[in-house]
Amino acid sequence: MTAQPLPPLQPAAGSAALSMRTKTVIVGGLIIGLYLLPFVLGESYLFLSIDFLIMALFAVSYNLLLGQAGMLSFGHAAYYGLGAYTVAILFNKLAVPVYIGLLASPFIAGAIALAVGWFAVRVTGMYFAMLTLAFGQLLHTVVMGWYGFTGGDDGLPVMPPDWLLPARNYYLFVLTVTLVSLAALRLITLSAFGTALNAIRENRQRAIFVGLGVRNYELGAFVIAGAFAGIAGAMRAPLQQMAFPSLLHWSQSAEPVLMALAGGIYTFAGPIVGAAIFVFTNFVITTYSEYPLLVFGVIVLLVVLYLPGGVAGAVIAAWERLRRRAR
Amino acid sequence: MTAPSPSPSPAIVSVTSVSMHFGGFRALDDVSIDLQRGEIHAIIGPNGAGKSTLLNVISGLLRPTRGDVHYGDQRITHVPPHRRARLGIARSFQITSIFTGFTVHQNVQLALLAQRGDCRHPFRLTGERYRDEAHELLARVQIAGMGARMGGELAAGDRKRLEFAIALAGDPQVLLLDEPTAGMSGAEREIVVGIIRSLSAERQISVLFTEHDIDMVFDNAHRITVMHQGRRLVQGTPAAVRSDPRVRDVYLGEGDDAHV
Repeated sequence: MTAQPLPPLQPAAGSAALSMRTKTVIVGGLIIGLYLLPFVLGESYLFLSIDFLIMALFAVSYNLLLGQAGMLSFGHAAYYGLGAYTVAILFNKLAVPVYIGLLASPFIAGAIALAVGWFAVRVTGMYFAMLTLAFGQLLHTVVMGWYGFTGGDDGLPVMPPDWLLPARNYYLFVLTVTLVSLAALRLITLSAFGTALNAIRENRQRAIFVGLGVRNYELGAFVIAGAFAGIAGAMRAPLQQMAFPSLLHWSQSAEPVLMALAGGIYTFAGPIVGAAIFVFTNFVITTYSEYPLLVFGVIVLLVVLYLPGGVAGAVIAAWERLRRRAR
Repeated sequence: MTAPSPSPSPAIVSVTSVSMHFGGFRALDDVSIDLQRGEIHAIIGPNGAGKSTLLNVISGLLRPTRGDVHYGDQRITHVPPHRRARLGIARSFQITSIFTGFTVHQNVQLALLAQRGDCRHPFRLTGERYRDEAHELLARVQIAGMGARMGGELAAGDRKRLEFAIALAGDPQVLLLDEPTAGMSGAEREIVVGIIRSLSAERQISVLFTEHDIDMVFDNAHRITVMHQGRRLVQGTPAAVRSDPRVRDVYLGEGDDAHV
């Protein structure tokens, strides 16, 4: 009994199905590949890749709420849009260049998320979803109506500096910001704080009685998720050279939910895979149909019905089966 | 057999004139009870007597309509439940409450992280932190060999033991147990009872528990409080309670599922 080796703590809960070495090789290879991409791809595909990177960060920031803490927010686009407007307003009112505006975006988006979250985490489940939706629409309405400050429904133009204008340069800029942000989010999901969020999702009452002030943790998750959504939005405005109120709209909030569900909410890579599927379907479908979100919605429906762990979850499970058979 | 009573000591938890109303229903009506250091104290009574409500008031799940709860010298009537857990008041639930999607080891690890304030840090990696302590806690409830299994896979008795290990992670002074042996086999019951007794005897942890199994109560409790319709009926040693005619009336008169 005493001679028995201690069982390892980690191997559990899906994500650790791949060995550390396999993961390092895959992630390292992907990062190198992404940095080499602009030397292979044409300009239009580079813009598509930028779109993917932004959506990936947006979806992963959202999944800190849905996948990790079990909080179904329907207003995540508000913080995404606020990030875009932070860059746009700083640029227009104070002539602050976009890369400095980008540094301010997580703080502005996070501060507003703190104000909204302070109310929203007082309720859970569907009430939380409705409250985040209502606050999101409120912020959308303010941005839409405040012509003097936000440009109202005309939007607000954003002009990146010359060195960021070429697609290749902007791609490398977005790639670096996204990778740093994703690395920070990865650390958060693996931290004691992240473990506490998992515990709250698993069993809220037990989490309280091991000594966690669950509302504070939920508020913390809401602020962090909002801040990183702000960074994603801040990279969106210079891409379109415009900040639009529709970035805050509730229909925009549906996108991270669907991306996370498509890719899988119980793995870190899931929402990234979901973003890839989303951006790619959009690209292919827009040429045939006016309703790309409808097609993507059907894809998500099928995934949720037949692959409850999402695409990433299914791939990991299949890999596990292969490896077991190989032994 | 009756366990020997510990020498009288100051109360670690005292509930003073607590009432708990839900609309017009009085779940607790002017109840006072004190829990002494190191004692095993049982609360018994028919269904609806207010036993669970009382535990919920002490653990902070419910805020009483009237009255006060003290923990040592500290008035904790309005202290939120997670702070009470950090202060050293641990509890278990009638339906055993664990993290079913975590491994057994991770359950205890999370409890240790939470109790030691690590969870506030978004960049402090969980990794293998407190691995040895978690293992020790599991060994204390004799499920050290199950560390790698998922919480949801465990049998009822093992789940309850895991819940004990989670509760012990905070090095509690007080354990509140809501029907700790409900739904268990005879062998599982004995193990759980053994753990409760050793915690009281070796670590001076005060245990307050509700229980339907009257034999278990009279064999193990140092003191017993009998409740009936939200009121405290009798409080005393097992011998005193057993011979009290009012207790017999409550149990035999109402033909409840508890049996004296």
